[in-house]
Amino acid sequence: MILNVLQQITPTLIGLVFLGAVSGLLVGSIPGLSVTMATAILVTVTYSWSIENAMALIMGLYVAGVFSGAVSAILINIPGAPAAVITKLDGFPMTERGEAAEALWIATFQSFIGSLIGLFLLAILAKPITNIALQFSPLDYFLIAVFGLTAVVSLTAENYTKGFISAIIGLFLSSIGREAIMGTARFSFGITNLQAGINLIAALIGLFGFTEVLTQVYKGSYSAIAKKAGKVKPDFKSALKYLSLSIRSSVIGTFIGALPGCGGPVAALISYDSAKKTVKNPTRPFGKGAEEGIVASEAANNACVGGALIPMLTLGIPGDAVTAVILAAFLVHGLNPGPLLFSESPELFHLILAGGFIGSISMLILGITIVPRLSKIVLIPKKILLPVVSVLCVIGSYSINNSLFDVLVMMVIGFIGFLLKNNNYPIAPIVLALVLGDIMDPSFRRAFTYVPSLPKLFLSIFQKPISFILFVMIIVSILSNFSFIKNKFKI
Amino acid sequence: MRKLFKNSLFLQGSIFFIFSLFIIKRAVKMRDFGKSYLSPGIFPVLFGGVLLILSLNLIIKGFKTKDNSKEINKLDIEKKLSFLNVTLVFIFSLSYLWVLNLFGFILPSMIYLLIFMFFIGEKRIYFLIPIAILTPLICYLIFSIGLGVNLP
Repeated sequence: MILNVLQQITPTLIGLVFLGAVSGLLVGSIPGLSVTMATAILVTVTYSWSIENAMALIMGLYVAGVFSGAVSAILINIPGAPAAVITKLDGFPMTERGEAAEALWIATFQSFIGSLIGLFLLAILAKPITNIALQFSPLDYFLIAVFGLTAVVSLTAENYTKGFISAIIGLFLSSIGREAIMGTARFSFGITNLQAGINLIAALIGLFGFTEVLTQVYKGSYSAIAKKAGKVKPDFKSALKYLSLSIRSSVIGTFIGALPGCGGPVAALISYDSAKKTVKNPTRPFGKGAEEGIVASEAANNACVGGALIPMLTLGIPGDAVTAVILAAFLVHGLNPGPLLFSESPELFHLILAGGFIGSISMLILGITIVPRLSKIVLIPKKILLPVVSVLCVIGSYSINNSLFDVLVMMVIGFIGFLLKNNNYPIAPIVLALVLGDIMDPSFRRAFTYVPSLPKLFLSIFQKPISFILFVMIIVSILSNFSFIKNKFKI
Repeated sequence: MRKLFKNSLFLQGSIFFIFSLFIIKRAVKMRDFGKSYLSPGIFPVLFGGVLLILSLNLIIKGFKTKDNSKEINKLDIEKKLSFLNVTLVFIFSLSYLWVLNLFGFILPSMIYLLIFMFFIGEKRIYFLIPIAILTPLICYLIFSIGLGVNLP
């Protein structure tokens, strides 16, 4: 296997992957410009190319693009992608302490480790992981989404009630528009634009970008985010001290990535939750600049790259939005991903692994050379930064669908976000509930079609080990927020 | 009653209570296609119900919270002024959006940046004007020409 992968590495492949990685870094670090959008553009650009060259370029963009969402999350508190929402919980507090460059270095290195482990697991465990993923029923998807929701609330909220209310606002936003099963328009109030639903990226930019601008105006503090940006010390030895946490987070990320539809945000969230519960002495408390928080989040969401490719390559089912576009690229070039791919075109599988590997190295090189220069942004006074960020929010939300309605949605959600934040309602559960709502609602209703009564549906949880384990995880996650349990188990 | 509505938890709880009733009412009316478990309204009813319980929890907490209106009053004027600033920025941003629709990206963005920076305290003209002019032009170069992204 290793020899086959190495045989695919040619100067052309290295050049194309690096070019893709540079594009991925640029696109991914600008909130609103998604990796999915860039990959879709590449599929059309590379239409007449050979599949090998097209895949090389796409893999470079995919690997570096997933990482680069962390750059803006760490520097200006606006995640470049939903998966980076968890990274910002500890990344931005580090920036405020003048350690932006250090936070970026941790994110870079852990993304590199996560990508490598994800690709390694893709290489050796593609079939067994697919078999486990196939056993997930709609009820299990519903339970995993509920677990994600309870975890994000307990992680981000000081007040559990307020955290849950934030999550429900996110679920409400996700239910706006035509629903997935019957196509009925919900809560669209006769507004045609709302029938397509609330765009996740517009909501993300509104909640983290515009809300932050309004919050700073409210506080009236216009000095720079930090007095210093810190210095990058590519110290591999100290970065490796988190190796066991990186490996654990990467395994979680790969597995969650292999579940179609879950993707980076859920992986980062579950991995962060696991780290918070198991790391005894973090560098700082989680949510206040703990390096371990960035490690867990970044290793997991980049390991999702390998994970999401597993069902795409073995079954032809995309693991996330980007792999859905890659699947389209396969079809455009006349290839049918699925079990036969391994026997009919094994060299393509090796090429994807080689592209991912070179993409990870390119990401590391860019993370050491280019990304630290971006950290100087934190030294700009907010009197200048805030208006410029507002304009970038407008560009980002407009570019999704070339629609000013998305910009309006971004601004209105941003204002609501400000009102909530000002009253101590956490923002992160809204975004993650917006993602999870799209999994929860159809899964819940599909689960009901198998067992059409609530008591029977509840009993079916105890009939499958996967469902039962997920159910226990939800109960533990909820109970761990009660003060008497916290005190007893010293959580 | 007036004192109760000054209590923020009670007020927030009441708003979310009304909001949850609105969600449930709209969701119940959604067509169920003959089988209630497939109804598009079932999931909103569920989370609307949870919101109802949580909002009642906030209302009860609001009742229990001690009245500290004297302390709040001292901060009230400052908070109201800050909130007024935020509302002005929000309305100004909405106007910017409206103007974008009429005049395109570059000119409205220059004016928006200039006024916004001035409003939040940047008074140095030699700083204001170059940034207000250059930022939209650089954005246009990077996004529209460089990355092929459409701008308003």
